[in-house]
Amino acid sequence: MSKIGLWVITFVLLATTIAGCWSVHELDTLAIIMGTGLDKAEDPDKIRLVAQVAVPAELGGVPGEGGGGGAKATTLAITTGYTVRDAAQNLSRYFSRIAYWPDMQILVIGEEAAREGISPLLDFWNRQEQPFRSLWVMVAKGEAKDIFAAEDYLEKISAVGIAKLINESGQASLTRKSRLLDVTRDLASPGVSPVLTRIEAVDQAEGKKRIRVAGSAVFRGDRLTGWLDESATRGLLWITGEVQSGAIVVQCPDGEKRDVSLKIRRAKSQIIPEEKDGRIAIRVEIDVEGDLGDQTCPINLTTPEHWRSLERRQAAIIENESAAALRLAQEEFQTDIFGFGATIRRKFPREWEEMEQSWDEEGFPRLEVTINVTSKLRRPGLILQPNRSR
Amino acid sequence: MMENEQITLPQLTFLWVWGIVATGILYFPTTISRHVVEDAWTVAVPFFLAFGAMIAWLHGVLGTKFSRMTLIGICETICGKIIGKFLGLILVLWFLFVTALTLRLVGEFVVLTIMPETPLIAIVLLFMVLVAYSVRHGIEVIARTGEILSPVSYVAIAVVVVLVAKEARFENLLPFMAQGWGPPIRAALTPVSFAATTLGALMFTPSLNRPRLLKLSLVLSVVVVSTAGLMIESMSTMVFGAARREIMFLHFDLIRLIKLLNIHLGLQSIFMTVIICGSFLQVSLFYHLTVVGLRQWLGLMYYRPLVTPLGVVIIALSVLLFENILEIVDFMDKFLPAASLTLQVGIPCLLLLGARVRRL
Amino acid sequence: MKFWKRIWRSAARKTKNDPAGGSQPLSKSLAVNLARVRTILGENSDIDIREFSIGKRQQVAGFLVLVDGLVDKSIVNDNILQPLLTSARLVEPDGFPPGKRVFQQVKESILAVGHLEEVYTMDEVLDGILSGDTAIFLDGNEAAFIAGTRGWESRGVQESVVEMAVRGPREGFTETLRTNTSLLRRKIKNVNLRVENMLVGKQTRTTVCLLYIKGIAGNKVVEEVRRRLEHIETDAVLDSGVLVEFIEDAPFSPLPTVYLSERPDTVASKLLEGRVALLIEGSPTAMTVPTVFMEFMISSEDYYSRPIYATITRWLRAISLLATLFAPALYVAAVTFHQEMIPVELLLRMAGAREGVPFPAVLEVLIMGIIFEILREAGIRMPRPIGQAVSIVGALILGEAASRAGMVSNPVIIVAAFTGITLFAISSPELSFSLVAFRVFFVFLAATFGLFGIVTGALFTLVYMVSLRSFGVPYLSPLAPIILSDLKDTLIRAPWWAMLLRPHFTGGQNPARQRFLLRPRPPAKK
Repeated sequence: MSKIGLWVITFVLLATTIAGCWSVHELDTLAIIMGTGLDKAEDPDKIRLVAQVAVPAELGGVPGEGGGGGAKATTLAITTGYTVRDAAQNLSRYFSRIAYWPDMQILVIGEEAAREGISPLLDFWNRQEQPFRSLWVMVAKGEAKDIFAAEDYLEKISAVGIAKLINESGQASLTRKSRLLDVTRDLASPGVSPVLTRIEAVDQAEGKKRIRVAGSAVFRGDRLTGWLDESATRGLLWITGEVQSGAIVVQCPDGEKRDVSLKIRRAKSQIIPEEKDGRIAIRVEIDVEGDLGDQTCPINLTTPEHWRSLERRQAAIIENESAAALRLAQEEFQTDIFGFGATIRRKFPREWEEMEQSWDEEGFPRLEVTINVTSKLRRPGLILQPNRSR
Repeated sequence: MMENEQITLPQLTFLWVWGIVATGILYFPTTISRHVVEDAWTVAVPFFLAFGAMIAWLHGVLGTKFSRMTLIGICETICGKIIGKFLGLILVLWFLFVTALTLRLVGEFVVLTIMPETPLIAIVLLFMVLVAYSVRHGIEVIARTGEILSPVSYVAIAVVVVLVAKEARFENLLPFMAQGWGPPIRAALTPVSFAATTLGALMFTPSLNRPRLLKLSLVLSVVVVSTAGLMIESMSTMVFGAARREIMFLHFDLIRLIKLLNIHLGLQSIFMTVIICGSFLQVSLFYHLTVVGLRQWLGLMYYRPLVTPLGVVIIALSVLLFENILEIVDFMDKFLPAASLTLQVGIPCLLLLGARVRRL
Repeated sequence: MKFWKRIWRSAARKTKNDPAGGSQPLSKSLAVNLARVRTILGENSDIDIREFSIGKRQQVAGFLVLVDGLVDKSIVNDNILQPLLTSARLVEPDGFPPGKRVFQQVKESILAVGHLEEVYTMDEVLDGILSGDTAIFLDGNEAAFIAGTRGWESRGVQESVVEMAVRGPREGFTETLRTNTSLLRRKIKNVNLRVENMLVGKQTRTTVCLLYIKGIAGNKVVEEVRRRLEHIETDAVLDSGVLVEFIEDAPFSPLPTVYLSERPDTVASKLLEGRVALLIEGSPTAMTVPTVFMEFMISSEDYYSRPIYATITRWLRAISLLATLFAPALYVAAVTFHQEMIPVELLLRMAGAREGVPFPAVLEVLIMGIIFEILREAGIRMPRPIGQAVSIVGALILGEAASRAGMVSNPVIIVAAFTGITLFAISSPELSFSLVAFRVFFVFLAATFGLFGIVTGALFTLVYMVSLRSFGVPYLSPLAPIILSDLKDTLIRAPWWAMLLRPHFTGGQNPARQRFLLRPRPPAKK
């Protein structure tokens, strides 16, 4: 017998006999979890875990058969436990299949659970070997369980719908997109407080619940302290430079109460820490480019004066929104959601060491912040004037 | 056996690149994060490069001076029979230990990331059968395998770094050198102690086709490693920021982030493939060094009878030496540099000095 | 070991018998020679012995021997018999004087054939006539003539069915050795193309032709091939496939280490790269050595089509190679170990498709793989119309129905089909059939160790391939060891004007292929 033959036999024998099949999980033994919600349980020490599990038989198989029918594509599994891992393992009490987490799209944290700190709730996901870091993490207004009771307009699996909703939320830029990676990074870095997506289930016609993703949840350390509404959220995003797109509605320059909306094309920001009279201050440069979106007033806006006044109005709105967000953070929440501390740390590491201890309590609320907005309007679209212009 | 084998300089370079960094891609960032976060990249470029290149140069000088002999032979020529034998034994045991350590590192990675329910011993056993097979074929085959795998693997690692660039935030690298020079240099010790294994290359000098360029080849492999290190370290910090301190396998985590065309491509499997290929070369290299060294030390004609028994010893060592992965990381951070540098910088220095004194 | 050797030796001794004494020299007496020829060949119905006498007074007797069916009758009749019987009188009107002179005269002035040699032993005579030549004996001479009269029914030169090409020459080798060497000669009109004959096979006495270009092929390789051929001592070598097994380096290897081709242009280009070719009588397949793995990924057509297109096809072939090797194993690993490798949408669908399938994924893949191989095998040997029916039945019934019945899941059928198609995209049949073994090996490893198993298996295969050699040349060169200048013709195909050097790894001498700066340019502007 040749040598290679012996080697191959050793190899295959080793593989088949010793190995057994430890990590084998056939697809039909898995419960594919699409979304998870974490709430406080009735027992104050415990966590309630809500898992949305896909029902594959309703989703795949031979096209044309199955699928479409009236059966639901997902089912909910609810367990409790002292930690997330504990609750997750407890799923096996109710579920005949092995929980399969890696394809989870969203993690929803209930309001009350978030108020007690999210770090213990996130540990499990970061520790897993599967790719969780681009998982969307959000805070529910109310209980996370209710989110999964709502239906999506298009997707059979509401978790997938929510993930897509957040992914495309840059269209309006009215909420903070927060992946597990971002949250972990913010929690670990000194001088930044995490801000998460806010999600709620709202009643709509025909008694159905629908999902709304708007606004954001503000944290101090890892505890939820309050909410930012939509315009304040956009104020936050202006300062951090995360605005992707959206509309700004300004008053028409003709003075009447007619609206003009401007489409945001590009927004950048720069946070510059400076030394000012022996104290460190922050200057925020926001640079916005937009187009004329549409107008309801019947005047020609493409004249130089009107155009310039539109730009000024755009700048004013952005300034107002940012200032509102800043005021909320500094006065009401006293938490550095903008990461000003981190930028100071980068530029003035020595000074930062002194400020770090009492940053959220003293440093940040008293920080002097100036916001400068440069606003440009580039194009009026493909028509120059409304058709009944004077 | 060895006399007929020929390895070229590029082959040697490729081999040592993997010899230094294969499992290091996984574990160096971990040990480095213990000391520095923002300045992690400086560990790779000025510090590792400088120290590593110096040590590789030292080994190259020793090797070219005695290009007809292997390391064991050099020891015996310079220090005489008894002390030479003693030094030789220490070196052989050291490489035995390094083989076991790297084997364990691969095993831990596989268990931790993709086969959580499979016992370590099964993974290590399967891997070792493969490695033993290649070691029996001799260094020439290992070197050629390295030649074919290296470019692919290196490109794969670089591509991963490029793909994840979307997540990078340059400002995470600041402040620069806030903690001074101490921590980065301390952090560089672990990678440097792996770079010091270039001493093993002296086992092959007789089979090199151009032994005069040994120095260049070894230094070049250190340079290649430091470029890879620069990419990985800077990218890890830019992506994870301060959170990198919390992460076990930074590079693996970078890959978990990559989402191309909005789907996860299962790139971590590609990465895992690269790591396994690389560490296959690393373990084969050290294993072969040990086997060849022991053959020399015992004065045997062939090394093949030694392959299987040593393999069993290595498997046993790798499983038994450490209790858990934390112990390994701690060991790599704290004790490995001391041991490695004493043996692999101390002994060559001693040998060179001896050669000077005895005018060899 | 010793025991077996002794048994073999005693067996070998028994077979060594030579009743007719074929190795003895010929006799001076015609009668003795005739009697000996009769005893050796007498009972065969296809042997013709024609006795005659020449000269005016018919004083010189003689006979000729030939094998009916192997000779071209018109040559024998018009160019040998006719002159002997009639022209002989014109040459020597007074009749032949006895003795040696007749022999000379016959050779110089009578026999009108191109190939004529004098032989002195019965063995040579027999070799000659059994290859289709005609032996002519004349009284009073201890020598005989072997006249080249070969000519038999044979297949004409046709396009090779195995190696098809869109562009390039259409001719393929036939079963006739002489035709085959002539096909090569026509391509390489160079005195340095050496064609050496060797006889292999104790019973069959098969001619094997060793071809190489002197000055380009490496002497060592030529020597080695010659040595291995001389080493063979067996009954029969009926096809090149048999010869391959006697001379290849790694007899148990699933991978081919000798390149086989039916195309003269391929063989010619291999010769020009410094390789040695072997042609064997009765087989339309030529062998070339030394062989490297890359050759199996290259089709001769690559050299006739545009370089970029050829490069793209080579990459496609490389991808197909990887796909056909790893697709089933990766599927098994992904479905049973690493579900996160599959995008969510697909995973949900696949999970739905697997719902209710009773077998584990490994078994599904293996079953479908075996069914596919059976279909392929059945299709090849069937007459063409039936073969088509087989494939239709296989595709429709087994694929569609099995998945509808819930025996296998849909993705497995896709994987099996994809594996099959990619297998056919590899141009060399020797290689593609040997891959099946590796594929099963990988599937097993994938089923037990997942991706880690596949990677270790692949590394195992790689180390094995690296350790292989073919006539002293590493099997994976020029990739490992890397020979930079030879990479021009591996995964890329450089334009012809850029391929300045012949491959190094074939061990050839004289590396320069062509002049530098042959790149075509538009005429310079004045």
